[in-house]
Amino acid sequence: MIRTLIHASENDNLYIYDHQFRLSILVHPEFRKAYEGSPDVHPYYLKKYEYLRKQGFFSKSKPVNFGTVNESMIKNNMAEVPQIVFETTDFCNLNCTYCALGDVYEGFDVRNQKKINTEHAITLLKYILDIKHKSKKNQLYISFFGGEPLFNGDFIKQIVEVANLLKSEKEIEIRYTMTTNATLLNKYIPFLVDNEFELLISLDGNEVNHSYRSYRGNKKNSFEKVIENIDMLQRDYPEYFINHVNFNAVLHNRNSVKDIYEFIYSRYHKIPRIAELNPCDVSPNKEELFNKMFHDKRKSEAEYIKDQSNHLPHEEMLQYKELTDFLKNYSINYYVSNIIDLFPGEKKYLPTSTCLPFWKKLMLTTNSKLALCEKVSYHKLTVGEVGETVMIDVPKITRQYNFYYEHVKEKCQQCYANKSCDICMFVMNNSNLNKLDAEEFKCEGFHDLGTFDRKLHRVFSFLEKYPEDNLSITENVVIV
Amino acid sequence: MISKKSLTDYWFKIEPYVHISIVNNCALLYNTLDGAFIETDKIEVIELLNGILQKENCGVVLLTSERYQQQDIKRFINELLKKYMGDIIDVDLSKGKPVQILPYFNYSDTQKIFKKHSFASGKKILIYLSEITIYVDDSSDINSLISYLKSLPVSTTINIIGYLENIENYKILLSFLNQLSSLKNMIFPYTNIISLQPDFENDFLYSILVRFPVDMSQWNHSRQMLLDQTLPFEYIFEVSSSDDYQQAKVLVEEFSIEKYQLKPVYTGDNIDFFKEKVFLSKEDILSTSMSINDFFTNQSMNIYDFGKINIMPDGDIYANINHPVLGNIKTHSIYDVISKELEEGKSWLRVRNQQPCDTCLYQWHCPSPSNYEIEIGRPNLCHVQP
Repeated sequence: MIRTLIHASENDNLYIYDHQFRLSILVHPEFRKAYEGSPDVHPYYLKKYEYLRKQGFFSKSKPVNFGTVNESMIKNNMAEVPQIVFETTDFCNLNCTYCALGDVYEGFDVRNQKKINTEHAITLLKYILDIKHKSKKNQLYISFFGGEPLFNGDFIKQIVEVANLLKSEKEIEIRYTMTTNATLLNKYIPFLVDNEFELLISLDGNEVNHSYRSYRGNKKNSFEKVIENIDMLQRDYPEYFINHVNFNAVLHNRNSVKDIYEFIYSRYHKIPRIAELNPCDVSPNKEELFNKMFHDKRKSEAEYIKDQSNHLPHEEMLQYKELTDFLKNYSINYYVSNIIDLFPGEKKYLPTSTCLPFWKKLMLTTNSKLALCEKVSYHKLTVGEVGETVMIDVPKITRQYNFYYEHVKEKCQQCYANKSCDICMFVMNNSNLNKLDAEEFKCEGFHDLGTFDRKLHRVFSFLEKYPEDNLSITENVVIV
Repeated sequence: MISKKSLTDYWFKIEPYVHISIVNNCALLYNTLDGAFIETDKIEVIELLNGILQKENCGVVLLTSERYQQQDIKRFINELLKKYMGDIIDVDLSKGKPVQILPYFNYSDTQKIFKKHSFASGKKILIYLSEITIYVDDSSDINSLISYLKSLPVSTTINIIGYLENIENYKILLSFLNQLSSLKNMIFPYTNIISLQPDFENDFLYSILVRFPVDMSQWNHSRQMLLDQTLPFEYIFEVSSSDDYQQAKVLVEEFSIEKYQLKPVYTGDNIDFFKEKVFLSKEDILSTSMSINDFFTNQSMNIYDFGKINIMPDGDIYANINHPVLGNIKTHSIYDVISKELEEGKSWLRVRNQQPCDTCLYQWHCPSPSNYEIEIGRPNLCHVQP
């Protein structure tokens, strides 16, 4: 049962956290004694404790009112879908050891070295542009994903040509994005620059750091070619490089946060995004390899912070991000970014943070299936398919979502992070999704009292060190 | 609070459930849990309060033993403690300065910040649309209207106001509305009610406008019609004088009316009626229970207009019919209309930030400015002198 709790910071300051009011209150140590029923408590704090109790603190939290999805929600989302992702090809010319679609993992969709069907992709693009509201202020992102998307560069060129023609009719602004391993970049640079592609390049650091990213054929490290291409892009189109190119690195046992920053920042003056290896769905016979490769980001970052000359911006620190998440979702200032929740009436939450179909994006796979996004295996959920027409079975999707919600909400009801978590039902461990209503079901993001208490400890300890962050984050960090 | 040694320094804090207003060297602290409040104009106290609002202090400020000994400070803190609105904590009880996350009130650009975060580029904006009011007359283009309604989010409430029977093909509009799952509110004067049943009954309801004096024969006829059908209905009595108010009360009692609203109407010559019945006094303001969310709401949006649009018979679209047009159903998509209102409109985000309210201690205790302010030509409807 969720209840109001008292937690401490590293400085031994004490705070109440009330889940219902989203309120944190600094309290006197005597107050904790009153809360704990200590016999020698100062009478004032006994009275204050009683006062707050009467106001609804420290009582059983009302259960969260979990809602369901209805068909109109999904239809409304369809008309406002902000991004289409094309799985350009499921083939990749690299065979990264830790790849989520490689040997280390199980349960992903089989790769058939297939390219996307261009006609189906154009049909989908026309369908989406047709249902989107005509407005110069309306935007649509078209993203190319793989495999390695540039392995099917012709498709990308065709889609861009069609989209550029169609967008003028609808007055919508279209932007292009792509995630690439950069090995084939040299063939497409002018095209990408002309169309202002937002590029996210996968680069793990220096040559040794990058050594898990090897070619599928000759097993050679792709580093040399990747750097040659990135250098060429930077040299020939410096302005484009500054404004439209970013880096994404995977943290593993051959690099560190320091290595990644030192290399990418020193060479390209860019702040890379860094991701840990995904711990879900590891093949049992590859666990040893996975454990060997896994590198904890929090620890690696903590090591780097000790170095006074580090390039890590304050805003990129994990603790800063955790504080941001807290202020935006668990503090009283949640409403600054969510004024719709100020409307009268009881707020309903949906269990987990699984995106509703079409809320953020829609993905067309090489099998012409419509998937939620690139992270969700297609065998777990598809929301339709494209042939001569686009087929989306809204009643079926609604039923599917509500089925999962119905089964997961009991667990969410006991979770301290149940008003805003970062767990998607469809990227949970494969074996887990089938156990939603079984005893052994485990949610990787579940926050019991202890987990939440430790989170609050970290958040308030950090905020005490950097008190200005409170207003800076509330005022300046926009969560879309 | 408990250590009272003369050389002790303290951390001073206000509780986050307290709303703080500081204007012209006066402060009002309002406890949103129980409605208790403290008003003060003591300079030392105002300085102390300003301190906790500084960015670098994050809601907590050092209160030295010397400062604590000042009478005004001591008296203020005693009252604060008594009303559970704040506290002081001996600095020796912890290893470093604590923080207090206060609600984001009391900053000069508060609404700008709300706007920046809630309506950021990339955020969905149609979710804010909750209600659409359609004014109809014989010039209404029903086909264009239906086509526009099809582009709206599915659950938007629809109000229809006007003399429907004057429109040649009004049944086409009703048939279309009947297919929608959203709530449809038909607003008719009691003298001109159209019977919807049995053809149209899917989530329709009636709002019946009553203006005085009442023609009892028409009243009885319309009342019988309403009672003979099963759709829910509510009366809206438009009162412009104390006499109207009394007559409304008589009708409510005589006909045992349960669902009704009294809506004051400004006629241009009944300001005294408004001063007596509508204007707020300081006591009215402070006796109104306010939550933290109410303060957020008053600072961020107009509670009467937010989420609503109006379509006139010629297709022009307004967020508030007293403000400039946002577009027309034939030329502007709903997306265009809402983004225009959020970016440059004057209705949805009209808050009480104009003179004299912007220098009033009770600024955010008052509800959003309404249409009465516009009609009467005054920015505030109260008896308070800021």
